[in-house]
Amino acid sequence: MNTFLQLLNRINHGALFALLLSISLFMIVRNNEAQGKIFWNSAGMVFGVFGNGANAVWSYFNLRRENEKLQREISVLRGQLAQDQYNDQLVRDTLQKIDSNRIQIYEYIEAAVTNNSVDKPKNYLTLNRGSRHGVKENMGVITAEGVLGVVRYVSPNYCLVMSILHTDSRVSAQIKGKGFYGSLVWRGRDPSRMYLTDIPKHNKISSNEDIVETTGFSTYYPPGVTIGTVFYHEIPPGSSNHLIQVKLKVNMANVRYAQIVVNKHADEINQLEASIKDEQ
Amino acid sequence: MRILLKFIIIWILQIVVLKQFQFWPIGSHHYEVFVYPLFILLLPVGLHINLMLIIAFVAGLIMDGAYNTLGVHAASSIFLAYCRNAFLSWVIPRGLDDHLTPSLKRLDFFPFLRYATFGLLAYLVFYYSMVFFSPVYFIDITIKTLLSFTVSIFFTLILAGVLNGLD
Repeated sequence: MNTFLQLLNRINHGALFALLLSISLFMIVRNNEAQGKIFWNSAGMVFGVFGNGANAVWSYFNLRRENEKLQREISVLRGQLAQDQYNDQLVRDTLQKIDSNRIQIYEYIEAAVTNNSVDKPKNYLTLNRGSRHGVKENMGVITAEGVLGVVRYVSPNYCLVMSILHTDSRVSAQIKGKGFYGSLVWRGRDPSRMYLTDIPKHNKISSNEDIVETTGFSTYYPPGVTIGTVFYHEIPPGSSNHLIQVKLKVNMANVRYAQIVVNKHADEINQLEASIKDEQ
Repeated sequence: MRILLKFIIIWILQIVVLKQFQFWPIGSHHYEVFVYPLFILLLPVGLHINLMLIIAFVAGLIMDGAYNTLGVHAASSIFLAYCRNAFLSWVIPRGLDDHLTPSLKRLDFFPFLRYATFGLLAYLVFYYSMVFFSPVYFIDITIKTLLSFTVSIFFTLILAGVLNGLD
């Protein structure tokens, strides 16, 4: 009896209370549904903070890989846009030989920009894909935000792209929805502004926010790629064309990733158009 | 021992008789009648607090078994046992021996009433807090506590008078 009393005295009664209370709470939460739900809901909110934090830290380490995966996905998805495929329905009905409705016209190779410049009169970008990856001269280069240029020189692992910020660059561009098209040129100095020429003055340009996009008339770029918006337009006195200043959507100074456009019909079109070249 | 006998009596009364009250709600509010906290209140005065906690815990578990709510009564019982000494110190007459129970006979009626009121209220508040498990239900907890209290204190006092004879 004495030892029993001594034992009792040694236990801190506050601690014993806490212990018994914890046991009771544990039983309550575990065996009763309503209390359990309330408890786990609140606990989830607290632990969720830690879980989110840990997730943020780990996902930071995976950012580069995620980015590469996303770029690859963009290439694949782009190629599936209807405008990049050739609707072969008519041929199929006639010939009954080809087994799919759509033939791929444009395919894309994703690449990273390893070198760039925007301040010279003739600017070039270097991309980290080359002939080993299927890159050839005269392939266009685009991003989600606009047009970057055309491949000019190719080495096994790299290619040199003539940027649109180049005095010799010409992009066939149109005003979305209106159909007027012309040549987009760069007059130097400002890397965010280009000029759309050859639009006759009788074509009305209504608002200052018209979107400028590629026409698809050249073999370099697929149609419908957004280039920028109309920033300013006027008809200079004595001229028969609009003077249209286009604000580029893409920030040429910090482009990191791009898609190289492989036009599978390019050779065919070029050969066809070359046959009337002597007449031009 | 007398403690065990008291417990059995209270236990039987609580389960067989008083559990039925859940079928007679006042308005739309269900309430419950508990005389069972009396058991903890009537434990000997000088009983060591740790022992009291353990006894209360076990007794609470047995109540839980009867009411099929695992842990709720146990939690409330240990809470009451922990607070009981404080309540007791307000009402106890001087010189009460440690092994005696603070029954209705030893305390006069009104001190005992105060003691029982505080004890029962503490028990009920904790009990309903455990049942609802979230301070969001503050209003419900208060309503149920008050309703249960008014009915329970009535039966508790009667039972205390009956148990007087055991002393």
